[in-house]
Amino acid sequence: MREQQLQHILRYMPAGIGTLLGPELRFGFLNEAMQNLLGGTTPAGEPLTAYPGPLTTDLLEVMKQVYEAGRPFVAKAYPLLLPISEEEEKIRHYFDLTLEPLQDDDDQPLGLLVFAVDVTAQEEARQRAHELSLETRRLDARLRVLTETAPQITFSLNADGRFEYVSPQWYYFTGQPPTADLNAIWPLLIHPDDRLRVLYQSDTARTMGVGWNYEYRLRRHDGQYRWMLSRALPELHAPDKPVSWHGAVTEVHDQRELSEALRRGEAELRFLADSIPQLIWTASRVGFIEYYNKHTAEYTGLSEQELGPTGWIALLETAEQAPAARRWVQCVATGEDFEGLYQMRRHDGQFRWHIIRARQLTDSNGPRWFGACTDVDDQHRLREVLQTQYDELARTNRDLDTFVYTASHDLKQPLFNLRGLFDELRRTATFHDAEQDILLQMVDEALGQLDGTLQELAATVQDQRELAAPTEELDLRSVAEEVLLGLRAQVQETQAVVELDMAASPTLLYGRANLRSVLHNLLSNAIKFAHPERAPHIVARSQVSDTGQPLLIVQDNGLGMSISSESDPMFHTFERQHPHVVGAGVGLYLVQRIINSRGGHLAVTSTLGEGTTFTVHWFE
Amino acid sequence: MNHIVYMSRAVRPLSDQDLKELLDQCRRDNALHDVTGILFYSHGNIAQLIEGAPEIIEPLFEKISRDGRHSHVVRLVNKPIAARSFPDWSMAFHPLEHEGFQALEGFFLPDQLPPTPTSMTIADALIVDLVRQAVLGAPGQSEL
Repeated sequence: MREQQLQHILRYMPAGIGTLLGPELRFGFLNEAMQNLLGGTTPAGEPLTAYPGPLTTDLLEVMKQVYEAGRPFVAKAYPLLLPISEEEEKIRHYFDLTLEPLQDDDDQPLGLLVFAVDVTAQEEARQRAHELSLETRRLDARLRVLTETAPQITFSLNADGRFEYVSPQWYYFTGQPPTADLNAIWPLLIHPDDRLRVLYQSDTARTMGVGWNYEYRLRRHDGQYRWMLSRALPELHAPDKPVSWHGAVTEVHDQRELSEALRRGEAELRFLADSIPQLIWTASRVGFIEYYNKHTAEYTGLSEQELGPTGWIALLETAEQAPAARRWVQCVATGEDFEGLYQMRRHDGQFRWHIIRARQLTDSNGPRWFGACTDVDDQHRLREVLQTQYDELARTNRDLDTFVYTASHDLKQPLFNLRGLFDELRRTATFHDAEQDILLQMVDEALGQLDGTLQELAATVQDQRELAAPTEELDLRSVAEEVLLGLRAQVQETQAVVELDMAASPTLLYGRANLRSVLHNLLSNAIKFAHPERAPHIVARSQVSDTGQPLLIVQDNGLGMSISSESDPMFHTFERQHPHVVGAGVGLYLVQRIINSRGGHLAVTSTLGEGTTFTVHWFE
Repeated sequence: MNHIVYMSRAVRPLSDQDLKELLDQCRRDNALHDVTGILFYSHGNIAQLIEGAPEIIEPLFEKISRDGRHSHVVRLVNKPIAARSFPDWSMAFHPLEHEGFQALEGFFLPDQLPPTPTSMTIADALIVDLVRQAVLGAPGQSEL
């Protein structure tokens, strides 16, 4: 009964059990699992070598040796291709094969007990684990390459806050030897101003089991402190207990400096804009004002909110609003500068003149508008006052001219009458005076002088009006000849010789009346102030100066005069060099005025008793 | 009576059909709440002016600004006005197909848009002129 039970158990065991008997290893008892393993064909009593099934030769060899040596052997995870039949696809199975020698009571070999346990599942799992570990190693290597080539320091901290790993970049950056004690050195390399904060922040983060993200300065190998960004995240295994932190430290010095500089620059610009006593504003690409400076609020009495994106337009004088708005829309469309003079309302209701000017700036941030409103009210008002005064002065001046002209004219008639009466008197009356002739002559002279003065006064006013006359290309010789024609009587009377030499610079761009006046006065003076002992010899010559400017030289052999400054003589109205010669003293004053007003000057050299040379520098 | 003006960017370009539906929907809703105004659209750029009682248009603007069809909503102005400047609700855009749009009530082709109402203050009219130019381009500028 027990035998039967045992047989039953053996037959259905999930492991293969069998006996191979004798040196030929003939099939003995084989349970079902073992029969399947051996390919199903296991006729009892036949040797194994005749029906090896999937067993390989080396295994058969080992079995024989186990039988002969009488020492057991276990072949672990031995691969067998099963099943053996042709129809089914062969699959590799793994078995732990235990070969146990069977011996009789006299220790003589009897056969082999073969015990086979299918370990395919375990073996496959082991192989998968092996592959996984290979893959892990590969990934690990890749991760290491990545962490060690990235321009960052990577690190791992354990739960106590001690470094478990730091990438080689830390050593490159800090210049510390590989033997340095990280936990001791790292805090010392942090900038003293940041150290306490960093230690506190990382400690807090570790206590709370959270990551961190902060910036601090770390000393580089060259001793320079550089801004670093440290970020780390906890690795959580149990839900509430971080076991380590992994993170990276990145150098952000340049970015930080740049953004610092930008911030500083912007703050400075804003401060600047807010300090300027002008209305400064910026507008978006499409023309809406985004920023008004402080002064705008002070001037308008309105906040940025109240002004709004187009509020400036409402500050303008009502009539100016619509054209200014149209112009602004147009400028925004075309990018043209906006510029104009507008009256803008101040907080107290007073309108003040402003130049509003806006220009578009185009850069990588896209176009924006920058505008300024400059208060020019004072200048504007001053200009208005000046203009009024100027107009008044001009009018007064005109009136004065008219008065002088009219007066000289009006005085001419009585003078004419006086002369006629005097002539009549002389003709009819007799004077009982020995000096009658001298007195009569003096009266004659005085009358002549009065007449000359009146004429010259009229001429002065005339010339004054013609100072602004248009210029034209004039032939010097022909103008001079015209003038001499007018002086014909004087020339004949004094037997003067006048030479004209205009070949060097025959023409001059000048006002015709002005040129006539200059020539008339210089030539008539030369005749008038002739030396009593010789006939006047006058030379009028045109020249070109060293600087290429035209000159006129009028030279005489007359009385000559005393001069204060040769290059810049001052001639005043009614100032007379030779009181005994008839004249009003207006001539040279007039010449000088004309020349100066046209941008030139008059120079003179003279020797008393020998003659005078006037040089007209038409232009400087 | 207040008015609100905002500009925004459509998340994706609106088709003629989208615009037509938007026009219908807005005209219906706005007539119901006595909201008037105008919407400009071109190439993804949106600008809208709405006028009405502040207790109506402020929540309406909040709703509009949360609408997922557009982003970058910038409110330019929200201020009291003396009177309405737009008699009803209208819309101006460049349709891809002109047919069928001419007849739509409340629709304008950009070049047929009436001038900005003179009932507005010049500062407010300037806002409308600038948003219109920003969305539809300068008048006389050729449309691509």
